[in-house]
Formats: sequence, C-alpha cells, structure tokens
Amino acid sequence: MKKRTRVLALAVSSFLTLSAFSGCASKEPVNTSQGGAASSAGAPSKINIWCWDKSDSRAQMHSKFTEETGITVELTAVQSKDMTQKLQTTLASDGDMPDIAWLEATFRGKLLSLNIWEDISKAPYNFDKANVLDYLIPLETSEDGQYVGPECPSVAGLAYKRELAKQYLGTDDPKELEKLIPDWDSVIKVGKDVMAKSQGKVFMFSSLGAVGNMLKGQSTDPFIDGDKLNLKTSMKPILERLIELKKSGMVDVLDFDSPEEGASYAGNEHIFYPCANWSVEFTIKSNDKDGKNRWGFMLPPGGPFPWGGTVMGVPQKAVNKEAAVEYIKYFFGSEKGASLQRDFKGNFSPFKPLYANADFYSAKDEYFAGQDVLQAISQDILPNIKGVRLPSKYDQDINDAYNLVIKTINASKDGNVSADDMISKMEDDLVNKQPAITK
Amino acid sequence: MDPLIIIRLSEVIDMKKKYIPYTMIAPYFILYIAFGLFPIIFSLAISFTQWDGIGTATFIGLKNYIRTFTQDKFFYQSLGNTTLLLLVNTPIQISVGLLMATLLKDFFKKTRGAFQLINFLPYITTPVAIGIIFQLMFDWKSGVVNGLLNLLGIDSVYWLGNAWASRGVVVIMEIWKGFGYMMIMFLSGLSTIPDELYESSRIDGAKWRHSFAHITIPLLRPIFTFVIVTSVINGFKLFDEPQLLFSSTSQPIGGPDRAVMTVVMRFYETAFNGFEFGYGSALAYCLFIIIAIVSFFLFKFINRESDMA
Amino acid sequence: MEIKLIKRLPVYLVVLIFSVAALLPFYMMIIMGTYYSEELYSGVKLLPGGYFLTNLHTVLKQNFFVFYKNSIIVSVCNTLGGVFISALTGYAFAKYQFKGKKPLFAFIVATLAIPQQLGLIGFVVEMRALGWINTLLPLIFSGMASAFGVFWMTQYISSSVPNEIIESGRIDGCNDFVIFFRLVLPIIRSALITIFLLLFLWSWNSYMTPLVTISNEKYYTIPLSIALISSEYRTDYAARILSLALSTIPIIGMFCIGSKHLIQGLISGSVKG
Repeated sequence: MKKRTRVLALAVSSFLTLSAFSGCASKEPVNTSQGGAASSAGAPSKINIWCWDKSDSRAQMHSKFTEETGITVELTAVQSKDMTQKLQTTLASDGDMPDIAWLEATFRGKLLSLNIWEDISKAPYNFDKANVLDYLIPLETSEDGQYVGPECPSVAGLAYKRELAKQYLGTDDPKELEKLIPDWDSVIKVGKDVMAKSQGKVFMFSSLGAVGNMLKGQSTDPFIDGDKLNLKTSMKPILERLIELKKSGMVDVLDFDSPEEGASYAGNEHIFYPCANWSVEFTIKSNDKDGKNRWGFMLPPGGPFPWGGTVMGVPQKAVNKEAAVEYIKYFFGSEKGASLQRDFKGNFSPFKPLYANADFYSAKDEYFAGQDVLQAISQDILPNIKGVRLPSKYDQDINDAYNLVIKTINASKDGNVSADDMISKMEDDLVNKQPAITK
Repeated sequence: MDPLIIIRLSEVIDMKKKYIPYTMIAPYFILYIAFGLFPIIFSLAISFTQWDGIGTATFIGLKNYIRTFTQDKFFYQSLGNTTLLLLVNTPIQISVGLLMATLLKDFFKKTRGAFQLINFLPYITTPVAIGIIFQLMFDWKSGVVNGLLNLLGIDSVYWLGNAWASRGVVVIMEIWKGFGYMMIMFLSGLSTIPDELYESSRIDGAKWRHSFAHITIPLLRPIFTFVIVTSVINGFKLFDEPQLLFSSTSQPIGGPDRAVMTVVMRFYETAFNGFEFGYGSALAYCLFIIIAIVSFFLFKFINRESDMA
Repeated sequence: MEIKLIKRLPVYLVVLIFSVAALLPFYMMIIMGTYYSEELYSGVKLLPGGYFLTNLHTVLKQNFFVFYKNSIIVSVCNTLGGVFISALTGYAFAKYQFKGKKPLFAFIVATLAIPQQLGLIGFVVEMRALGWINTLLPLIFSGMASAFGVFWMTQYISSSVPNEIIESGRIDGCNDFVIFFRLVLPIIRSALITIFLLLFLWSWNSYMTPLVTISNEKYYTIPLSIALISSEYRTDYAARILSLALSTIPIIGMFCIGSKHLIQGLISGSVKG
C-alpha cells in the first residue's frame, strides 16, 4: 500500500511539475534578443552579443558605452569552439540571431564564406572602412567582397627569457638580439651554439607548433587558390624549415598549447616564445606568475606576423543591426572607444589615425624589465606587417592537415621525413575531405 | 453464480486485457514519435540533399551515400578505428565490471556501498578535468606514465603523438571510465539471482569458481545480452573521449594520423564545422545501418536459446 | 563455512587497486579546483592549493544557483518521466504477449544505434516550431522516451519477476496496473534505482542539446554555464573544474541514498561475509 501510494504520488507530482512548467514557459517571451525592439530613432535600445568574455572589465567597459549612447549591451556566453555550431543550428531553425557574433580566427575563413553577414561598410551603416588598418581589411572581407566587420589587431613578436638569452646568446638587449637572429637561417646557426653550450638541455623554442604558427603567419602565399591547392609552392618552404629545426634538435618536443608547454614558461629550459599582444597578459604573465623582470620582447626572426583576431560580425538576420554598428563604430572606429579598449582590456584598435601618436599605446611593463611592449607593438610591429594570407573556406581543413604534419614531424626520429611526402599526404587528405578541391 | 454471467464477465475482461499491453507501451511511443522520430526523419530527408543549414537544401539523391562509400577515405578509416577500439574496450570493460561486481557482492558485505560509489566515480568525473589529467599523465617528457616506464627500463613513449600509443590512451580512458558503470549494471543484475542457489551449491561442495560458471553466468543471460548489445552499440558511437584528448585547435582532429577518429567525430566535423549537413547526415546513417546489422546478429547470437527478451 | 583470509587477500588486492585507480582522478579533480588555473599545468596535484576561495568566488559570481536550479528541474523531471515510462513499457514487453511485440521491440533496440548528434538540427527545428526554444522544455522531454531504459527494464523484469507473482495477483482479482504498481515495482527496485541514476546523470551532463536550444543565459544548465567562466583571451580551467566538481554533489548524494537498494534480495547473515 505504502509503496503504491509513493509511486503514484511521484508520478502525479512529476506530471504536475511538467505541466506547471509548460505553463510558465509559454508565458516567457521567446524572442529575448528583441527586448529593445529595433527603433533606430533615438529610443533606448539593446544589443545582444554572443561572445566568450563575461569578465567584470568588459562589463565596466560596456557601461561607459551605455552611459554615452543609451544602448545597453547584453552578452550571452558562447565558447569559441561552439560558436560555429550554435550559429548554424540557430540559422537552420530560423531562430533568433545575435546582433553581433564573435568570429575567431580559427573559423574565420569558413564563417566569412557563409554569406550570412551584413556588409557594414555600406549604407545604412556606413562604417568607415578607410580608417581601418590596411593589413586587416582583406582578413575581414568575404570572398564576395563583403566587408564583414573589424577586429582588434592581433599581431605577434617574440618574447624571450632574459637570463637565458644573456647566458647563451651573450646579450639580453632586444635590438642586439634582433641583429643576431634576423631570420631563420641565423636562428639555426645560433641555435647550434646554444645546444652545444648547454649540452642539449636548453632549447630555442618549446614546440614545433609554436614555430609552425610563426612560419605560417610570416608567409602570405595562399595555400589554396579558389579550389585548387597550392601547397607545393606555399607549404614546402615552411615544412622544410620545420624539418630542419627538428633535425637540429633545438626545438623541444612539447605539444603546442599543452599543459606541459604552459608550464615551460616558468621554467628555464626554453628561451623564445611567439608573443602576441594578448600573450603578454594571458599567456606569459599567467603561466609565469613570479616572472617579473624575467622577460624581454623583440621582433621575431622572419618578421612580425598576424596571429589570431576575432571579427565582429553582424548577421543579416539580426534585429538591432543599426545599434550593433553604433557599438562597432564606437569601439573600433573612434579614439574614445580605443582608449576604453586599451584601459579595460589591453586591446589594440584598428583605428588608423591613432597610430600617428606614439604615446597612445605606451606603458612600461615590469615583467619585461621596464620595456614598453605596447609601444613596440604599435610602432614597430603593426606597421611592419607586410601582408596577410587571404582567408579561404578551407582554412580549417588546411590547418588540420598542417597540425597533423607537425605532429608527424615531431614524432619522427631526428626529423627523417621528407617535405614532399608530407605535402602529398596533405594533398590527399584535403582532396578526400573536400571533393571539390583539386591538387 | 449464473454461469452465463461468468462467461460474459470473462469475455469483457479478455477484451480489455488485449489492449492492456498496448496501453502500457503507448506513452513511450507517443513521446518517442513526438520528440525522437521527427528529428531522425528530418535528418534522413536531409541526407539526400546538399545543405549547409543556412540556404535552401538541394536534392541530390543518393550522391552523399555514394560519396561515403566510394570517395571518403576517412569514413573507412574512422570505421576501422572505431571497430578496433570497440573490440579492445568492450570485452575488458565487461570482464572487469563483472569481476568487480561479483567480488563486491561476495566478499564485501559491509563496505560494499562505499566501494560501489568509489568505482562509479570515473563515470561522473568531469571530462574537462580528465582531459587535463590524462594529458599530464601521458606527457612525453614529464608524464608519470613514462616516468614509471623509465624506471622499468623502457623508453618513453610519445603517447599523444603516435597512432598506436594514442589508441592505447583512449582505450585506457574508456576502460577506466566504463568499468564502474558495468559493475553497477551487473550488481543490479546479480541481485536477481536468489541466494539459495549459491547456498545449496556450496553445501554440495562447489567452489566459488564453479558456482560462478554454472549459476551466475547462465542466470545473468538477459543482463549479458543487454550489456553486450548496448556496449557494442555505444562503442560504435564513441565520441567523447577521443574528442577530449585532441580538441584544442592545434591538435589534428582524431589525433596523430587520425588514429582515434571515430565515425561520430567525422560526422560532427563534417556537419557542424564544415557546414555540410547533408553529407554529415548520410555518414551518420551509414553508421546506423552498420550498427543495426551488427547488433541484430549479436542479439540473435546471444539469445539463440532463450525466448524473446 | 568461512572463506579463509588467505583466499580473501588477492580479492582485496584486486578490488583495492581498481578502487584506487577509480578514486584518484576524481580526487585530483577536486584538488584541481583549489588551484590557480595555470598552476595546473605544472604537474599532477595531490594536495590542495590555496586558491579555493578565489575560484569559488569566480564560480558563484555568475548566478551559479540559478544554473543549479535549472539543471535540477530538468534532470528530475526528465528522469522521473523516463524511469516510469521505461518500467511500464519494459513490463509490457517482458510479461505480455501481443501482436507486433517482436517488431516493436526490435524497433526500440534499433533506435539505440542512432547517434544522438544526428537528430540535433531536426530537434531544434521542431522545438522552434513548438515555440519551446529558450525554455527548459526541450531538455525535459529530450530522451524521456529512453530506448536504453526500456531495453534494460525488459531484460531485468524478464529475469527477475516470476510469472507466479503476476498469476497470483490475477487470481486475487487485481487489475494489471495494480499488479504493476503493487507487486512488480517493489521487486525491481534495484533496476529502477540503476536506471534512475543513469538517466539522471546523462540528463545532468547533457551539453549539446542545451547548447543549441537555449540562448537565454537565464535558462542555462550547469554544463553550459561553464562558458561564463571565461574572459577574452584566457580560460579559467580551475574555476570551471570547481564548478563542475560542485555539480557532482547531487549525483553522489543520490548514489549514496540509492546504493542501499541496489543490492537487494540478498539474505543477510549468509556465510559469505
């Protein structure tokens, strides 16, 4: 008797709960991103951004924007790795799109090619493309010529550990180091000395993947032209360089972006690391907590290179598009917004006129023994970015094949693999994955 | 009582009785048709089209399926990987689970609850943490596993960089995660075997091993059917652990030489990262067909003597 | 008749080894939540770090209890419904003969072979049509018709419920549902607990379905809420792990409560202990 009543009660209550919630749920508005129904004529509006930054600093930064313009900014947390899937399922089911979506560099090529974005340089938005740093524009334009949206410039130089540089290269001054290793050939030469001096214990770089990122960013030859692969020309020098480095033993066998590589920042066995503007705070300082004065920043061998970057995309199906472009113009096309980005987030701005003033991005960094890394980036690195590789919708697949090759080289004994073999492997891989691709 | 009334009464009861099982299974089927069937049929329809989820879907007939079977080297590779991992994992997981279940039942009367919980913990440990832990443990240079191997005089292995080694890591992860779950299923199943059987066999002088072979295993047959069929099916659908180990953007999808790329990973990559939802669905349906065929024969094989279910 | 200690020793050893292997990573997970995120990379940690309160603050700062509540609502409803339906349906398949039984059962088992991710887009389209996007309803109903549950119950009931019990119930004049509730359910208590735990666990940890059906943070469940613990260029893994470790508490609690009933029908006082 008792058990039966209990079970019945459980069943009844669960179904009651269900119906209660159906009732509740149907009262909730389905369209939450339309909270501030699009009226561009002065009435307070709201925009919804899908992004992965819910930190206080961003909230504070946005509140300043709201004070000035009356537009409230609502952030919905979506991880970068989920962004593609979420956008896709929302579109497929005709759901509510955000007013701005963050598109990370890894997925840039594919996402830009989807043709679901507004060209904000055109009417009625008229975002001023002419004032965006030149090198960025091709990265933000779809293959059809649509300008999707700006991003905070993400460029990289080289960070090094001063002690190790002094000990094994004879100096810890950035300018002198730049003279020592202006290109990759000199890296090989110098690296051999370092290996000899340290009996193989100290490495120039922590991982082939790190070097792989540098090499990929430093060359602009397209890997693919439309649907036709171009790996033999563009990828070969990169792979040959990687194999050479592997053979020399001056690059450690760690996996890029692995926990072990993170731990290596605080250690004393690796000298050089690629360092983007965002790496300073979020890779170097967070991995080497006690590393004050340990670090230096210099131009990398082979030249500075773009690395990463998150595009602000306004979907065609968004509701508050004009308010969204207001936001974009403010934070990416004005000095006011740029100072907020700099002060609250340490981000650079794509707004060209700012760079005429060398002091706009300037701060002595005690981690880097007082070096003014910000200024180095804005005055030495950004202007020296020669060009970029145009995004292609096959970027992710090419990147995946590239990662595979890097891993193979890393695993090989003393680098005894041939670049040509690796390239044919990549080509077969890609043709298999995407039948539209030709070799 | 009037015999006529009895007969009529029993006729009425009989009539109602016929519908009872249907009434019982109705809620399941109603819910399934409402929430389970529609998405599946939708995907089936999409699998005959080319669709990126955004524009309109173009009907292309069987082209996706043809591509899967003739052009897609990755389909066969991932199928091979999946089957390989399955063949190694499943027997070990089931054996360990069964072993632990019987040991706990027979030898740990008082502390059984604690051990049940402890051995089930891997199943509920957060994948994020597991990912970091396994990456650290199996690191080439400073991982604990290589440290132990070195002590035994064996060279360090590049676990996450070699095809076979990374398969080994996935197998270990799977077994570690799954044996507790198997154990729970078997514990529950073991409780359906009356104690008297064990008692009387012991009185007859039978050893533990003997009663295990002649009482436990035969009486657990329905549970075995369930465990084996579901494990095989789940093995074919493997996705989480390999995805976890190689999910950062600087890792090739499916690990070194794509050694641990499973079919579902291939589907996921195609449909959600490649925006080829039509082709992805066809891939998944091919997998479904394969699983259905395998489990059908498996089911028949295990159940060849007993009646249905 | 006692089993000698000598014979027991290898058994203890085996169980101990497996238990330690099972426990260690879970323990490590809890420890990981007490560290500064990047410190996790410098090696496997066995002792608590000093960052627990900071990480806790990070976790609680973001509406943690709302997400907890959402997860509980979803999982409880989904599981209760699922268990009940599985038991009822399993009973029908196990103890009744009716036309179409074999094909229907085969159909259910066949649906097990379908990868969950396959139906994702279709499911979202359907939810959108029903107006259930951005509510908890899709999560509650998704998977409530559990083929796994039905299959399990069918096997279990067919091997554990003697037909005599059902017969005697009929003779006593009970109707079939009364038999089910009063006679059968108590016998299969163990199976009910098992399937409850599993369905709850799967619902609790479900990630993809909420990801694509909920865009309003108010309705995020715990796995989804991890996305909030992140800033533009850095992911705080330690805080995320802490949040997820906290979310294992209900599961463990339920397991402890349920494990008593997991093993039933064993007569106490028998010679095995």
